[in-house]
Amino acid sequence: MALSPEPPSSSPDTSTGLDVLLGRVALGDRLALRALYDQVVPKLFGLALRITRRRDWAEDVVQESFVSIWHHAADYRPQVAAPMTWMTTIVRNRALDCLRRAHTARLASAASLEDTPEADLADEHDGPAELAQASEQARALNRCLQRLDGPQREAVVLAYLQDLSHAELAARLRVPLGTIKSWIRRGLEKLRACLEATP
Amino acid sequence: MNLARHPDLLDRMAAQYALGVLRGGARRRMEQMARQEPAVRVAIAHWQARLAGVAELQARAVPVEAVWCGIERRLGWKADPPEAQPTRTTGWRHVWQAASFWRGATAAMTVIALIAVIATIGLGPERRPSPSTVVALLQSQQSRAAMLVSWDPTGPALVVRRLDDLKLTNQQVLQLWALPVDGKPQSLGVIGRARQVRLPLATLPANVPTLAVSIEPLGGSTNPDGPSGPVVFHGALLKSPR
Repeated sequence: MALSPEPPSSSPDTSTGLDVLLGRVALGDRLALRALYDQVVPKLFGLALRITRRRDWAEDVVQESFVSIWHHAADYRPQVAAPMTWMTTIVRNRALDCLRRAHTARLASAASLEDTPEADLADEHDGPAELAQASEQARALNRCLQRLDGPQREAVVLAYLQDLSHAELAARLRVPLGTIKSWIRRGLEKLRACLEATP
Repeated sequence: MNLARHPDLLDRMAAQYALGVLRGGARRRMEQMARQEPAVRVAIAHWQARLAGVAELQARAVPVEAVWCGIERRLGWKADPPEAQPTRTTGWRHVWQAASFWRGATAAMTVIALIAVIATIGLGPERRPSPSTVVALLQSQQSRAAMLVSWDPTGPALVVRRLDDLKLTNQQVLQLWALPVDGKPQSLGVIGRARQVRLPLATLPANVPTLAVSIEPLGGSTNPDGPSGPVVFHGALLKSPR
């Protein structure tokens, strides 16, 4: 699926794989970074938005992430992680760092952050568009996530995306701590069983 | 308690640690056990890899084009935009508002920006974009990106960067070959075991559609007609540099 509306015409092979683009980025090819951006930014921005829940922060996170990708593309190893996994990990770490900084700033100034309502946690993870660029491993995870009960899935996904503790999850989802612990434990156990059953 | 002897409990704790829900003492205990027990590290890494997929499953959103401009600015590819209108109310106001002043100031700022860019390029680390062009991406036998070959005309040299994690013994090196349409393979140089090397070369041999890499003994192939060891990577030459 071609995602780049305007591939740079001077770049000879914009339809090439993400690992090839990353390789060219590692060698300082600016057109390759732009081609990579065109292909993956909707995915990365969507993730940043999901974690930070603020557009301006998500924009910052994506910019920081691409600077990081530019400087660290040479460290990318195709054997360790799929390109999309590598990039989404960078974005998640940046976004969590952004949340932590905001949290510190809020404690310091005692000003209240905009309390955005919880992002829509409806079942949006099975659309073909969301899966178009996902790695094999992510697709397998998706299949197994779909088999969890709604609340278990919601708790696991939210915990991971926003790096929340049991107590923070309980406060966010407004359920007792014991319930959260049980959702997480059972959710992870089912995930393991499912992932091990489907190679 | 030795978690490594209780695989079920280890897996459950590793999963929760990787998910990020453990805090305080529970988290510190896991970290301490991970330092001591390889099995704990493996279990955590396994779950981290599994859960990383969550980040790939979120809905897309398209950012405004200004986001790309911000990336270019952060990388120093573009100068910062001029600051917002200054507010001066002293006797400087006339000068401040005069068009000629602004023309001069803009010119000066452009010069400063140019100097900054030149200084950055001059002093920048090796990761600054070089004038080299990628000429080949070699793939492993498993069709994975294994090596990038680019041409630096200022050398002139081929710049080879390894992406693979092939294990070589102390007695093995990699060697780069040009495979002409007709004729014997020509050695382009011994890469050795480094992740990145420059192979000085006046020009690429003509009529070469393919490059290949073989594993050779120290010093390179002992066969005058081509590789003596197995070819591990190969790929097409994307475009011939001048």
